[in-house]
Amino acid sequence: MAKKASMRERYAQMTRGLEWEPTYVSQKEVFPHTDFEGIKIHDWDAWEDPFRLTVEAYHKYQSEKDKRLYAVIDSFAQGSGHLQVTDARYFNAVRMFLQGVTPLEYQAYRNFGYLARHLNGAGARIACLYQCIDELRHNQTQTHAVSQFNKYYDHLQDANVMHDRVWYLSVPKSFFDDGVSAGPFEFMLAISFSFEYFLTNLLFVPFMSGASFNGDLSTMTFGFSAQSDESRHMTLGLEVIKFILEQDEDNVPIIQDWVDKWFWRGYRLLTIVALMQDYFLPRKGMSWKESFELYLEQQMLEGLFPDLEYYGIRPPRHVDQAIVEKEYLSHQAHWIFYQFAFAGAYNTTVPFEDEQEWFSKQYPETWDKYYAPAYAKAKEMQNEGKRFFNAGLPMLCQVCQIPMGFTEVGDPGTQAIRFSHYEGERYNTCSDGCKWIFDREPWKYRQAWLPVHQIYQGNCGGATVPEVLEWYGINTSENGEYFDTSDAKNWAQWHEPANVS
Amino acid sequence: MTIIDPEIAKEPAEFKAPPTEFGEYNFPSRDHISLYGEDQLLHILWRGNIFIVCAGCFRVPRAMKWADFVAGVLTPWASADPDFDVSRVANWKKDDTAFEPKDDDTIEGLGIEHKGVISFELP
Repeated sequence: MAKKASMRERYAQMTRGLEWEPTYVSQKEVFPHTDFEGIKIHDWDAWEDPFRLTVEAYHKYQSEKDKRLYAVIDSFAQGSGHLQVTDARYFNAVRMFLQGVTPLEYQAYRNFGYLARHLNGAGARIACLYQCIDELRHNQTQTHAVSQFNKYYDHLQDANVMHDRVWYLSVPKSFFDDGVSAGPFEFMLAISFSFEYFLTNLLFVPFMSGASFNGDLSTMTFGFSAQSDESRHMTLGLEVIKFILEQDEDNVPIIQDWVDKWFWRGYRLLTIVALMQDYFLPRKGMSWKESFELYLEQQMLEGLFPDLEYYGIRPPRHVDQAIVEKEYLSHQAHWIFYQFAFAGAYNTTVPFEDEQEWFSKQYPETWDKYYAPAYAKAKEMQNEGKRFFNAGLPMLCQVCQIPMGFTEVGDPGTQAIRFSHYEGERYNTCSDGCKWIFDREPWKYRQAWLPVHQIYQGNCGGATVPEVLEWYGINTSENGEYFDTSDAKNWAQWHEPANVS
Repeated sequence: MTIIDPEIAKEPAEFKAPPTEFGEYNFPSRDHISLYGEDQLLHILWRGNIFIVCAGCFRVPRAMKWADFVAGVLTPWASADPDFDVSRVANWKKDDTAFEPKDDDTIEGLGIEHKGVISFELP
């Protein structure tokens, strides 16, 4: 009787062993997309598979994880778990995730599917195949984990429509559009390295530990279920960059350029996480600043980049500016969201007193001087029945598409504006980082779909704010000021003490 | 710790031509002035006032008179801040350059470019 093959042998036979050399057509005809970016790969077999999974084993593991996840989701839903979260304001964090991040999982699924077809090496293709299926699974499981809240809280419907149309969601959407419209290697650098390896802890850990800390077991369990996938994606991200760098010295400057670009793209995208973490979690855990110090400064800059120095890669351009901005990024983001809440699928309110004390402790250099006075004035206006909203549409950055509420680095009192001209037309950017990215590829960014400019061209449902909001699919009685929403009223009613007399 | 040598940070980007193997990667601007008819976009920034968090973006006729712009566009926007007082508005700038608009000037006549930024202060 033949001996049963070991896991390693089975992997070799069932993945790379199924590869063949084309004889009727050239390699170039089979894989036409892998040389136009200038990346040189001499030996695709040098690709190290971090996980060595067969398709069969992969499905077995994933289905086990799904069974456990859905058991928790069901039990949480049946026990009306939503009533156990800290406060209805928390659901703004869930909204950000569902509207902003979940559709990105779908975009990632599509492009990893493309890579699973188009990369020359079988090892790289099989790794992308697993990640492709992972991403689709994440899109589905996130949707399921959150969908139970939809019948109790607003703005959890139509996340995909909102993702395509709503102004602040053009931030994550344009990030991924930028990635999927690049070549295969740039996409891998952008998503597998910059996003999955470099920045993912800053995305997933705050959201999932925030969910746990605020009593949302359903979202937290999704996070646990995705965690082992994410660590596989992180390992893939590191393998991608090391593999490309080891293949040819000519790859180094191209990779450095992409590291520079995608660090800043990713960092600007994480503005939404900074906002969510510091403001949309009623019970605070780690601040944005602390997370940034732990995951970016310590783990990445002090851990990863010294290793990459061996290959000739230096830390990303403009990271020094990001480090300075940790003192105020979340505050600038929420101040934007606070005053434009009339046009978003979320609600905001002035932070409660205990939250303000926490901000003052966490951000001693900036909170008391810049943001406490702004919210005090807003609170006073609200007490007079004139809740403060911005009375216009914001100027947007041509690259990150965030309203231009960022300031000169280290000077939170002076708004920053950069601009460039390309073929006679002016384009505005929010920072040195975004301007640098624009100037590298102006022909790419000039086709950006900027929500405000599109509204003014009449492409978003009409000429008035209510028409645009209807086109967005936003229920206008449920956004704006939190205390004017039915979320706030229902929450108070659901938590009234039972009358037992 | 020094993250990055400031000299490296200043090094200009190397411009590369767009790839041509699959065709020219070049698409028209989605915001060209021709898409706005007789109008253009412009931005107003209240310098040094982060209460209004960022510059506002507006679509205005290029032939609009400055006085109409101040009364009909700028004032309603800036009045969201209760401390706004149109009589105190001063120190106009087009980007970093000071300028002194007069009531009868037009947006086009003042040379405010499409998607340009004008700013003021309340000293």
